[in-house]
Amino acid sequence: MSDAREQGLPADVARDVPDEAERAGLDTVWRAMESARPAPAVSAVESSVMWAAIVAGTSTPASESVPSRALASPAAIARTDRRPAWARRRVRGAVFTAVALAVVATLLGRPGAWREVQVARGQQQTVQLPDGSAVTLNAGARLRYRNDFRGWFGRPADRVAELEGAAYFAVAKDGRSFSVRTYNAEVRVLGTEFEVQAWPAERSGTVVAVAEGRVAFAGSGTRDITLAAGDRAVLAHAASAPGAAAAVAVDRVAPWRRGGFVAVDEPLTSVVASLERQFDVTIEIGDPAIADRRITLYYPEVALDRVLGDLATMQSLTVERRRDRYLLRLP
Amino acid sequence: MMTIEPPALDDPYPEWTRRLLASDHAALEAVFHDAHDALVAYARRMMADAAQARDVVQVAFIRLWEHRLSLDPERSIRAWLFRTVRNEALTRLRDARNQARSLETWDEPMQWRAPQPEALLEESELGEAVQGWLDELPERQREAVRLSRFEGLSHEEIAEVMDIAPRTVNNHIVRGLQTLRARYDATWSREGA
Repeated sequence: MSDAREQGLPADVARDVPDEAERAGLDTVWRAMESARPAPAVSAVESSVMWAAIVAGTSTPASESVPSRALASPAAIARTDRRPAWARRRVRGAVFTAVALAVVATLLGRPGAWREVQVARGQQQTVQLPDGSAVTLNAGARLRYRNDFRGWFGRPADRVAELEGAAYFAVAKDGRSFSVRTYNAEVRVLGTEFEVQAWPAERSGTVVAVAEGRVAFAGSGTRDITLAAGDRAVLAHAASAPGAAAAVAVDRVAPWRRGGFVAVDEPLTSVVASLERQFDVTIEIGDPAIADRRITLYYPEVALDRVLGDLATMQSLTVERRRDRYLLRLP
Repeated sequence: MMTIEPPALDDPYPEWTRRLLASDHAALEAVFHDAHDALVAYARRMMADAAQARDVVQVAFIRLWEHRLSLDPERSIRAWLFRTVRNEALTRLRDARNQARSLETWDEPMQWRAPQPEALLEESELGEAVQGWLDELPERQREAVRLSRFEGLSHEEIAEVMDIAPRTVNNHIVRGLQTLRARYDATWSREGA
């Protein structure tokens, strides 16, 4: 960032202050502010750790070669970085420290770092976890997990993954429990297949549907419920315990994995958000009055135009195709 | 009013943007090393939790990589990063608030950490004094002044980050500086007297 360190008042500001004495005063205080420049917010080690996490999150699929890739890059920095030599030395120092820490961590058997996978709109991705479990992430979803599910000194630790969005988990049995945490709930299992869905930004609450085996589903309160295959339950956004289980056909659990689409009693806004993610399009709801309408839909195979057409028919709406978006509104 | 500032000659961002468009991962790394500290500092002013602030910045870089193919080479990815950090931090603050089950509506645009007014009178160091005055500015002014002064963002970039007109950015900065200047003059003339 070539910055205003040595320069005075920005031209835009100066232009706006016609009075010369006042301009000089503002310029003085502008320069005096240099003394209040904040200290670096991130230590060299924190910086290396952050970069390693970013590498993990930007290499698809998440591969086991992440650490070597994170550490192999200083040459690339030197090639592209135009900062002064001392700054590059600091980076090299940081990388050296990170290597040293990694060696020490391995010797001590420190728990693995968190790994993060984020799926772009319009895409899906299956991640193999280190315990043999597989997670299929729907468009826009984000998953974090410890990269080896190991605790201190290599002892097996509980398997924990954090999820934002929709994902289908096929959990391998290995004697340990496996937990999926969302922004407002926790789902604990031994070995089973189930879908979890939670979009914090949409206040969707957490939805769990089980295809095989049993899971325990809990919120922040003390009450949890057990769901068996063919059960589906919702922990509402502001609730502390999940509501009662309802039946769901097993083939309607995460149908998006096979190009399908399902919504069960969801507000139109959530359905639209899912479609936007799945098809990477923009859909505008033209009338606030219709945003909260409850929608239930199921398609084993889905085409965007068909869903929008059906929504319009069912809800007496019109759908228009604009240049860069669809518009849903009252006729 | 189209006044065009000549771009800083050694601004490496346009080239990094072009290389990101070509999926050059090393360009992401170069941007990261240049910008991450300022971004974490920025996130820290919204979120008290340092680990959360770093996490928000990580997410912004991961999104930058995911969006690389749709980047507009004419627009500032630095502004894009600050804006993404801002939105992500606000979302998390809101979620944390909701999760704490305080259900009153969220209409504050930004929850900054509280300023410490009483600290101010004791400060003898100029830097600490200026820091205290900055903390007392209205939050929009404070954010604009800091982005301009410490992160070196242009008015256009700040406008994009804060989602306001460049004209308004300038007003915020001018007003903020005027207040700072009054505080500065009052303190220094008193000491000089």
